[in-house]
Amino acid sequence: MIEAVQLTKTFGDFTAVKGVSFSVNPGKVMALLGHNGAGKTTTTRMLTATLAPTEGYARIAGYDTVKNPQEVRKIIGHLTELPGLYNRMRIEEYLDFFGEVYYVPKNIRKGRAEEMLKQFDLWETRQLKMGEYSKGMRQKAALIRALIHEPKVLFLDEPTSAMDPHSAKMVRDAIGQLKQENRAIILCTHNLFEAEALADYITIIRKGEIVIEGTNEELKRKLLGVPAYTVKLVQPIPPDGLPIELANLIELTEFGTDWFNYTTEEADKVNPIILRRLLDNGFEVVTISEVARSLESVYLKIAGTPQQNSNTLDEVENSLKKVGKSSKSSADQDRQNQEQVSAEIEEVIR
Amino acid sequence: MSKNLTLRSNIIGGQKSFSLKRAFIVARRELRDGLRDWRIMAPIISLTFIVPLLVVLGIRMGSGFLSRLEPGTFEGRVLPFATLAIGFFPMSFSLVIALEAFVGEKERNSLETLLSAPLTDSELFTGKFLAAVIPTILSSIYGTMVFVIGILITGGPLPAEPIAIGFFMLLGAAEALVMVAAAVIVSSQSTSVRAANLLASFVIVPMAIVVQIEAIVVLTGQTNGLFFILVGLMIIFIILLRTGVRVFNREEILSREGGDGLKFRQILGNIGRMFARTPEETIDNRKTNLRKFSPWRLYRHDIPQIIKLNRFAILTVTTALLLAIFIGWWFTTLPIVKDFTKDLQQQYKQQVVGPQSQACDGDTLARSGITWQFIFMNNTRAVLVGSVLAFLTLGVGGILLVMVAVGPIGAIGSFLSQVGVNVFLLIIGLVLPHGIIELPAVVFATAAALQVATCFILPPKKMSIGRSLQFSLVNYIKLLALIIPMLFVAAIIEANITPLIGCALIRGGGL
Repeated sequence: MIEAVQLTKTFGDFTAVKGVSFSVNPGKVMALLGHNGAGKTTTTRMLTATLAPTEGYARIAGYDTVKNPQEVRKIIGHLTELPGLYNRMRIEEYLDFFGEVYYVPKNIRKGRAEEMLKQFDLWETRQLKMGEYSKGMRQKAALIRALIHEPKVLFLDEPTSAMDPHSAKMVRDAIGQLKQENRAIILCTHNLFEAEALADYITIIRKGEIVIEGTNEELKRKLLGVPAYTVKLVQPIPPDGLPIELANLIELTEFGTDWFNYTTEEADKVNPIILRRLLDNGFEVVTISEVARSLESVYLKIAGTPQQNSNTLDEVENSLKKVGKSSKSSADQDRQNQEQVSAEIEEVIR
Repeated sequence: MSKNLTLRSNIIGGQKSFSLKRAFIVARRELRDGLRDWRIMAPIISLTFIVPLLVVLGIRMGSGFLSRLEPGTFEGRVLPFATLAIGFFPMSFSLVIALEAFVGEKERNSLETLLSAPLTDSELFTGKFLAAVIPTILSSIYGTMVFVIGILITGGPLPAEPIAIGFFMLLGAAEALVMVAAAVIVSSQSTSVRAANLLASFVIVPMAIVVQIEAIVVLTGQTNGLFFILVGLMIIFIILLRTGVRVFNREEILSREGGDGLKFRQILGNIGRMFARTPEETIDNRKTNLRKFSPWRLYRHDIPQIIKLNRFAILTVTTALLLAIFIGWWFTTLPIVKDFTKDLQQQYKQQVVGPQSQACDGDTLARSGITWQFIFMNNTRAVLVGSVLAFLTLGVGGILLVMVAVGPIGAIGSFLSQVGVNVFLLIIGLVLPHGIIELPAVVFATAAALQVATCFILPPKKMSIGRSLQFSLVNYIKLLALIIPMLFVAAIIEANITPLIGCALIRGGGL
């Protein structure tokens, strides 16, 4: 539905976007992330047929953005970063104008406008001039405008900025619904929670170039490494560390008085063993859970300058020494233990 | 980048379709929005209804004084002039609406939404244009009607013949069309409303001159002259409308950022790149120049391309040049001029081309001090001054200068033919040897200057006016690499060879 191939845009000597390629299929949402000035807006403008690429090409539903700009514009909905409403108009007049511009028949656009105004809680305020709207209301009005012609493809630039939590959820739900309706959506946002919640694919752009792309999970794995787990114990960890051998199974990353974190590639095999050994040694476990890793961490690692963690590498190494004695138990032995651990877990659960 | 990706044209294509109905969608919204703004409504109401009535009141109150004017002056001059002026007043707010058209929307952040909508460039431009011109024309017509009715109600005569009143309304409409079209172009090419307002002087000053000419025409009773002004305004309007659509570029509008300051570094960078590229590459807005700049490329590719690009200007200048020769010839054949030059003809016949001619005495030329250096400097200076004059006068000054310089050739030819000189041989002997190089050089230079001066009328497709000006200036400078050597060679021939041929013809009695 959306296809960008080697899109490049230069302004004089400045290259705003360089060799950007991606595709978004119907029913999918791609989040385009990046700092201000990273090239998101220029990329979007090329896709919406308002800027011509210097090199490369883009197709929207099969239409080339340079050769068939009018066809492209007819089938896209574009929510710009700033709502840019006509302040002296009322929302119904505004939607009627854009409905007409987008070839929506008069009898349909009135009903559709009413439906969406009700959906986004703007029906009651329709008599106000848009200049009197709050920022959130303006953003919702602009979103309705972008949807008035039921576009197959949507470009949403910061759709929930300036909205209260209730409105933001309303808009996120609406985007989810649009996705269900098989529309292809590109979401430019700085709200990483939103991107994580809505996007099927994430593309991070920096200085006009794509630095990484993939699903949320792929990105986390690529950049943050293997998943981390935390174990919370009832008793505090003894000063000389846990009297069990763990280092051959896991990599300890952090610890506290009654908890420790570790990473492992094979959680489904290793976690039961850990649990078993802890229980065998008389440690009571409150929880064993995956450490939440946000898209923000991924983003900061790629696009920003992440703050250093309080734990330095030295501290992590020390923790390894303290918490688990180094051991070179063979993998065979672990495999033998595995079945036993599983059985014990079942017993604990019972 | 893969090899099969072609270099893209920087132009969004497929926008040729135009629907007036869709232009009216834009216009209707603009009108609805604009007419809710008291800052626009106040001058409309005031200039349409209040000011005409105040003028009526003023005229009635001053009737005592006006009755002392020469008979017929009040009815025949003052009232028609007042009618004409009333129709012009609403033009002032037309600029406010038109100058806001694009740049105002850009400042309010609503432009991108409109530009990404399925409206063609012509529909957008026309819609904005109509939104500004419709209230202006209506206001001009209503204002005139209010004034006429006001005068009649207060017992005065009809301010002008009904047909003249209709004509004044047409003239007001033409003024509105020109001013609004120009202002919408300014708006589409400006970076801010402030810049647009400053640039509006390019609209206001010429129109003020037109209105003063109209006033003189009406006050002197030569109202037929208004017809020519109307035709002129309509031609300018058509040119402006065409220019407006041509230079309208949504990409330029969106990407033009960064305030109103003159960016000399950027301009110099652009000019440098234009020098490095061939004209074709600049028009296509190619990123890199495919052929490296070299004197060979300049003469082999750039200059032929520039001459091709300037072909219409070259044709215009050549026509003007031939016209000047014809006028010069015709002027000398007028009986009054013939009578005046009768004695001169006789004297010339004896001293220059007759048997006692001293024109070719050995030291005549040497005494005259006309060396090739003098000719070269003189011609180069004339070409450069003519170019500057052309830049400043939309090309008119440059063309007139060429006509004034070349016209005497026709006049002298005619004069000498009356003396009995063989003009054909005269041209071959005294004009052609150097003229065959010098005249094309002058034509190329004047045409290139004309191109610079009028670059905003027909800029290369989707090139902004600023870039078009830079492009035509670069082309002018590149062309100097041909013009200067041509003038140089022509000067050497003119100083050293032409006199020999001329004298041979004189001595041989060929003339």
